Amino acid sequence: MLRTAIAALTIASVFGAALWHGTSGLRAFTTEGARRLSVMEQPRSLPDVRLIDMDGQELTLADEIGRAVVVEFIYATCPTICVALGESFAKLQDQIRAAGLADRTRLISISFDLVHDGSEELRTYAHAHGADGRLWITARPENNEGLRALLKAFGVTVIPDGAGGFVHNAALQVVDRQGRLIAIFDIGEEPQVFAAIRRRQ
Amino acid sequence: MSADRATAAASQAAAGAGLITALILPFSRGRLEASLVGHVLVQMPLLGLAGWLLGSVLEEKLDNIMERWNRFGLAGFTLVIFTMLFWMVPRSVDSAIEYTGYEVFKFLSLPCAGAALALSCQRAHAIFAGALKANLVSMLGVLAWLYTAAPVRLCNSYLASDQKMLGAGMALLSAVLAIYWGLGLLFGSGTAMAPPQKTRSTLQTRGRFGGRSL
Repeated sequence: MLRTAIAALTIASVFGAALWHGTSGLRAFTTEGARRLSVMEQPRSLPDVRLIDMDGQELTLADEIGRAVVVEFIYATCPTICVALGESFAKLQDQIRAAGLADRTRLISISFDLVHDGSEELRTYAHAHGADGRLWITARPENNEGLRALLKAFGVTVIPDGAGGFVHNAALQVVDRQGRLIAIFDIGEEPQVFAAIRRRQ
Repeated sequence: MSADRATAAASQAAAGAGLITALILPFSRGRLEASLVGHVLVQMPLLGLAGWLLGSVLEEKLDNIMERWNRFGLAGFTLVIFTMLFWMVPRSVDSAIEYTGYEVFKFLSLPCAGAALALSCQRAHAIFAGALKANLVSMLGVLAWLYTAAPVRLCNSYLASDQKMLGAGMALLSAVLAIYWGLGLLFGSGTAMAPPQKTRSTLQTRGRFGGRSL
């Protein structure tokens, strides 16, 4: 019976450790939960990916160092979740302007649909949601390689929805003035996003 | 071991090994992992089944070792329970898609758990086995509720509709198992409630505990 107890305890400890590791100490049971926890505990530096904005101008996230940045991932023909994301950014845009932080903040809607979203589609999306092109811009990575690097760094998984569109773990990602991803919030948590931006000014 | 039984054992081992090989093939892996139901309710149980087939072939050979290291199936059931706990976590399912290490661990841990189950079932006391069955049914029920009712996607790699389907599948499985085991209890031959079939451990239990208390 002693040997059985030893065997059972060994198995329990090995698998217990695996379970502990796989759930970040029983704190994150979903990939999205783990992403948010990891970013909060350890701000993440981001790759220097070249983006093209809605006016055809090149930019990188490194150009924004010195500003607080909020990033959302979208695709221009998105009927559901991106509309909510757009509304969320519209609210933030108003709030940031009212607080006089427009010069020190940037909102970027980044498209992951490189096949369909050119500058024109990005402009249409911007107009439809009220992006002013200064405080709030829309952009797309220059190429697939850049897109992959960006999605990986942010921890965003995009999958086809089976009806010609996409599904992704949509969220509001806050990047601090040093260019590090520091917090991730849900749509509807604009007050928390605003507080995070404000703290970083 | 007679020639017939040896042949049966060999073909069963071949079936287990063949099943694992078939599941590893990129074609079936891709197909099954494309949907949450295929991944969790088809691929994972089949990996367990493959392990079961291999484990039951080894049962007789490992009898002495199991008698010492797996009395009443306690070590085996610990492995089974922890493996299920691990693969029940939505993040583990996502990680199996994203990281090779997790995928390899899945293809090792689930067949091991299946084999452990085969090596432990006969040793388990009826009450212990019953408690495990009741737990499995209720756990599947809770998971079914979680997956169907969750307002957010629990796996980044799968659609919300997939998640609901998995919940429905788990509810169905839970109901089928409850009915199957329940009917066995009511109308079965009585073996479900009989003492464990491994006589050696049974005798020892009776000698040690029964003798003193009576």
